Amino acid sequence: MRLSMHASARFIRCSCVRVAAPLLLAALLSGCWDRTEINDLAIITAAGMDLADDGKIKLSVQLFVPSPPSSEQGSSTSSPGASNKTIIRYATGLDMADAAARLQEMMSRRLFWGQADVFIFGEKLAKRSIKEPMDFLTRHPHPRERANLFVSDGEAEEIVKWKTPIERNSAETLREMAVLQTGLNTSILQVIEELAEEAHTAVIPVVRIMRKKPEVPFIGGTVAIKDLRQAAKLDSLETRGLLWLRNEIKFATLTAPAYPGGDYASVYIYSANSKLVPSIKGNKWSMLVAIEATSNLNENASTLDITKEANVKRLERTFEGIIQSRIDKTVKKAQRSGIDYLGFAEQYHRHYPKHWLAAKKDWDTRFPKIEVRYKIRLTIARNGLTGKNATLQSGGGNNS
Amino acid sequence: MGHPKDERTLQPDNGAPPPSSVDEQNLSSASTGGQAQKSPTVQETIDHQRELLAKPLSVKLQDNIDVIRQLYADCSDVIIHEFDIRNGPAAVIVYIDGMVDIKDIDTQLLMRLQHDGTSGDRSKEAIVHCVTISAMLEVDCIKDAVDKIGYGNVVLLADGITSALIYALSFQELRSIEEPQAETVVRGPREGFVESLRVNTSLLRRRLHTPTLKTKPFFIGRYSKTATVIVYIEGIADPALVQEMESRLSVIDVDGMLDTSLIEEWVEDNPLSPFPQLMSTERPDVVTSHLLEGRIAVLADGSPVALVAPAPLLSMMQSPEDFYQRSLVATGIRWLRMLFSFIAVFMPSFYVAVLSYHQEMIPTSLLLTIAQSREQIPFPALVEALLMEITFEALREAGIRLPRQVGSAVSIVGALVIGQAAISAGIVSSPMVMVVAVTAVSSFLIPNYSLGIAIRFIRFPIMLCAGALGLYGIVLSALVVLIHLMTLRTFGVPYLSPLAPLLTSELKDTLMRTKSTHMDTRPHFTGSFYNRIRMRVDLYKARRNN
Repeated sequence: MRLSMHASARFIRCSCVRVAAPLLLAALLSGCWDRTEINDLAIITAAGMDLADDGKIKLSVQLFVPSPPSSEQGSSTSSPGASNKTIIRYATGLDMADAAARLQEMMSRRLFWGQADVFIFGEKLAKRSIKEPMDFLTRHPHPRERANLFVSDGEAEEIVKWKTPIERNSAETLREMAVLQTGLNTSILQVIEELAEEAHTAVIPVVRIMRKKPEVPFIGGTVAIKDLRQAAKLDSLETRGLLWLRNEIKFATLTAPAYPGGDYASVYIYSANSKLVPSIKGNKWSMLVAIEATSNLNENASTLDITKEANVKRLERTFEGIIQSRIDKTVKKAQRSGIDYLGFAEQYHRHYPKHWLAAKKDWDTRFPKIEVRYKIRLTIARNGLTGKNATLQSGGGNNS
Repeated sequence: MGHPKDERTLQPDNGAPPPSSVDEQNLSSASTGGQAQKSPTVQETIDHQRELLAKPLSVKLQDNIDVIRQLYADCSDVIIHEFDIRNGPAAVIVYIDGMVDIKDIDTQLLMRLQHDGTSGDRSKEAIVHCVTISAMLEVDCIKDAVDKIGYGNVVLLADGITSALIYALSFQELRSIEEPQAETVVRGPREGFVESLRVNTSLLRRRLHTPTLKTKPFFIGRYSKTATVIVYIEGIADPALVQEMESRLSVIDVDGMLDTSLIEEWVEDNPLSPFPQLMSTERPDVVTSHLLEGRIAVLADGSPVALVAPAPLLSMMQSPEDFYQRSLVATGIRWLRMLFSFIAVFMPSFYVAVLSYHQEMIPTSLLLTIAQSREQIPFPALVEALLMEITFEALREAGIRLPRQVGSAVSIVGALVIGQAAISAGIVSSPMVMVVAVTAVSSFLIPNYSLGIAIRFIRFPIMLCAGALGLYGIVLSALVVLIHLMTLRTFGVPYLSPLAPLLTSELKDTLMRTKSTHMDTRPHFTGSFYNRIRMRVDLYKARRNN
């Protein structure tokens, strides 16, 4: 009995070893081959791509420099702003990947594209072609598809280099600005999708630096891309028109004379919805831009008494006209250039697939001839805390 | 210990110890006891004991006394008191000092027999008639008599009578009934089981005043002879379930059964699993409610913990408080508990995986903050996590085991170890401390302590997987745990029921706690469907409306 006990114990021990040994070894072997500690990452927050003089691509990246929290510094009370440091590194390469590889050579840490929120193309590069960087950004698994794309008005490097006093870094500033929707907010994914649509165009917001002191970058204007090349450039106002067409207006302040020759009044649009309705009648292609917006009266310096309904209606008509003229300006510009970055092609494709198939080839000639009609409905829902304008009121002591 | 089948067949009541397991004990007693004569071998001693125990009671009193004296040699706490019954035969009472109520022996037994006597009648009936104690039993062999003595009864033997009269005068020093420390509630009864089986069964009986509440006795342990009962409600519990428990309990052959947790290890279906397959509770109200649901309970003498079977996983996520609070609130708390048990399992692993492999998943600002705090840390995230989690487990264990006087010192040092000091020492980063703290809190949200330990235990292998394979590793190990849970069974009931297999009618008390008037049918575990209606809400409503 003792013998058999011994034997069974040995058997159990053997099988234990047989199971445990591979597990232990596997734990060692599996050795975390693509594990990367955060300490070993060079976190890219923004990247700018410029055209170098010799036709190569110059990559400038903004890297986050993690410095330990100031509480650990002990007695030395370093300024709190210094903890959010960024540094800029440059490299030039034949294409984007080459530039990135050269950049890596100069780094002690692995470049990490996963947190890059902002990619900026230099104007010169955008005019030549952005196909190399776009291919890299979409092919490489790390860059986020939802990162924002910008075209700079000048060198992209300058924007990347710019140090912001408010946000963590300039990338964060640009991203927040884009989110506020004063201009376009375009992600890599959106650009890819739009390029894949029927018109093969995309729009990317322009970021420029205010030349006066203090130097502040802001999003003003739009670049239309066709065949991965800058094809047209819109200014800020035209961009607003584009936003209306793309149904991307969230908030807007419109200002206009309350009546011809009168003082200014402003409305703040807090809800807007626009729709493109294509129609084909015989050989006549037309597009209806239907817009519904709701707004609050923000300011009324004129003598118009907006407690009267008729006056409110008049004001509404005025602002509807403003919206229409804005959109019309953009549409006219697009039609003049013959490049459909307004998204008309996609609408025809969706609503009239058969017509579209036939008209697809000569879209560039047909597009400028499309008649654009407008149906705009703006409602002034509230006229604010005061009724009449302050000067008309009996007390008149209200400054605001 | 591979062959239980030779002579050690199962005799739970058999006092004679089998040869193989008593060696040391008897060796020592033999060597000290028999100095003059040649000390008997262990085998001889055991054989002798068996021989004595197997004897029937003799007509001659002196023979019986001799046997008992031999059996209880060197037992200083056993009292063998010989006396003469007035106008009757010579007699002896045997009991263990400290386990019986001596005052009762004096007034009810000795006083009666020695003063009043049997007036010449030497028959058993006369003696029985004379003694004014109701709890009386007759046995007719030495073994049974000795067993009864061991349980704190008084054995009365008289000359010329071949049976022993057993009087239950046992008296034990007991802990008072207190609120169980591990299962406290804000609202609800505050009674908890104690170490005495009788008190415990009476606590149940006080809640279920019905003869259908059955307490089937067993005696487990060759030496300890622990009284164990299966408690169930006849007509509600599945008879097959009761039978299964009986058959599992009755085949236990062990020298001593010290606690119900040992019974749990014997009867559970998969002893190697970290997950408890029987529910343990110290609360009589919990046991009662489970009995009413058709479960069965096992209580043992010397243990304040009752086992409840079958116990699927989700029934262990219930707290007694759930049923004493309003159903909506209880449901919310139950969800909170489920959420946090997931956090307890996966949070550190998730942190490790994301930090080592999926940095792009973290929101940018958070990543930058983490990067800053990790800048000075020399260890990889996995090592850091393991370090902190193991330290926490050590602190938790120390907190439980340490004497109360030292406890506060440990908690102070613990706060330093898992806290700011660890961060400023540059050993761990502050997000890691946060993760460990949240994990620690969440693991204590699980009402069942054994389940909580199991969950705390499995998070270490998952952490290793996360460190080796990232989120992929977490998913793999979660699948392994899930498959394991699916294979587990507790007394024939799938461990994950009623979720897998899905029994929609039984979801009323799992993921949510419906109004108690809506729990109108009993949950079904095994066997046929019978006696399912718990309440008649329809009748109640009809009567109310009249």
